[in-house]
Amino acid sequence: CATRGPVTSDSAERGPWQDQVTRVQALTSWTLAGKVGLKTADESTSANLDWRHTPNYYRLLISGPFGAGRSTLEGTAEKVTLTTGEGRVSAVSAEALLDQQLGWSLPVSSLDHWIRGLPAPSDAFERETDALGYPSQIRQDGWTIDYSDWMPADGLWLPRKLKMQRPGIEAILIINDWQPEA
Amino acid sequence: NEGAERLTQLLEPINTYQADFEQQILDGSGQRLQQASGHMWLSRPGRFHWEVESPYRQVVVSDGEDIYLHDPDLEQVTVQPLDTRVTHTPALLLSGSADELTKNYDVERRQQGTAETFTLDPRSPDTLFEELQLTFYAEELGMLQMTDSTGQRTAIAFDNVEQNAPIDDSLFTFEIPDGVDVIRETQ
Repeated sequence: CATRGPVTSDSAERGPWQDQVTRVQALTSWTLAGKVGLKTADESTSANLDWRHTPNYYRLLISGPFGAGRSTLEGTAEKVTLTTGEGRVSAVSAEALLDQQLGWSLPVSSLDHWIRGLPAPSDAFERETDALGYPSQIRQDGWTIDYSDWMPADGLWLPRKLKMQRPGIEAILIINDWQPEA
Repeated sequence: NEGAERLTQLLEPINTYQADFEQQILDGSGQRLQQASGHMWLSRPGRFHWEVESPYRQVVVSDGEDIYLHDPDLEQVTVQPLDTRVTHTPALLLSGSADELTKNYDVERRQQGTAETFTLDPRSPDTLFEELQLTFYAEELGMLQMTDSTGQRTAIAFDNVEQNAPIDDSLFTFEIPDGVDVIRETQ
C-alpha cells in the first residue's frame, strides 16, 4: 500500500522526544489492543492483536473476527507457550515457535522495544528521527521499522502505526488502544 | 431429540435479527484476553453485517456468497467464499438453516426460569470449536459462546435485540473503497 508521509494528529502538542525518552525506556508494563497486517511472498493476512506485557510475563493474543483461529503466545524468562484451537506447544524461543506453528514469525524479543519506538538493546542499530527527535525509522537485526503515526497515552506519546520489513515479510502494526502502566 | 426440536423452533421464525453485541475472548481460567463491541444485522439465508465499533473499527459483511472483511486501519479488504461451517462464521447460527445446524451437532437443552441454554457438541470433530452454547432469554437469543479444546472461549452477548424488523438490503452488500489492498482468498 502507498506509504503516506508521517501523519501526526497534532505535532504542536507532541513535546520533544528527549523529554520523555527516559520514561518510555522505564515503561515495562502495558496492555494494548490493535491490528497486525502481514504480507509474505505467498500470503497476506490480518488479525487482531491484544498484548499484555509485564517485566517477567507477556501474552500476545492473535485472533480473527469472532475470535476465530486465535493463537495465544505467552512468554516467561524460562519458556514460551503457544495455545491454539488445537492445543498447546512450548519452546524456548518465541520466534522458533511462531515460525513452526504459524508459518511466519516476528522478532518478539525485540518487539517490546520497537513497539515503544526504541531500538532493542541486543544489537547495533541505525536510526533516523523527525523534527521533534521521534524515531521515524530504525534499522536493526535486518529489519527496517518505520514509524508513521504517534498517539498520546497517559502523558506519553507512543507509536500508533509502525511498519516492520525484512526481505520477504512486511508487518504493519496499528495500535488502537495503548494503556501504559507506571 | 427434544433439544434439537426446541432449538429449531426458536431459530426457524428468525428471518432478520439485529442487536448490539459485546464480544469477549476469555482464556481457560476465565481471564479476559480481548473485548470488542459493535452492532450486527442478520438476514436469512446466510447474509449478515458485523460492525465492530470499539476499540477498533472493522466490518464483516456476507452477501450470502462471499464474506468481505474491511479493516480501515490496515487499509485492507479480504474477500473469501462464505464458509458455511457455523463455528467459522458464528453469525450463520442465525442466518443459516436451523435443521442443518441440528444435523451437525448433538443438542442438549437446559432451562433456568425464562433462560433456555442449548449446548451443541459437533458430531464430527471440528477444527475450531469443541462446544457451542446459545442462551435464549424469553425466546430471544441473548448469548453465544464458543469454547475450544484448550478452554479458550469467545463469548458474545447481545442487547437491544430486534427480530424480523425490516433491514435495508444495502447493509448486506459491500462496496470496496478505493485505495485499499484487496486480498482474495479461496477457501
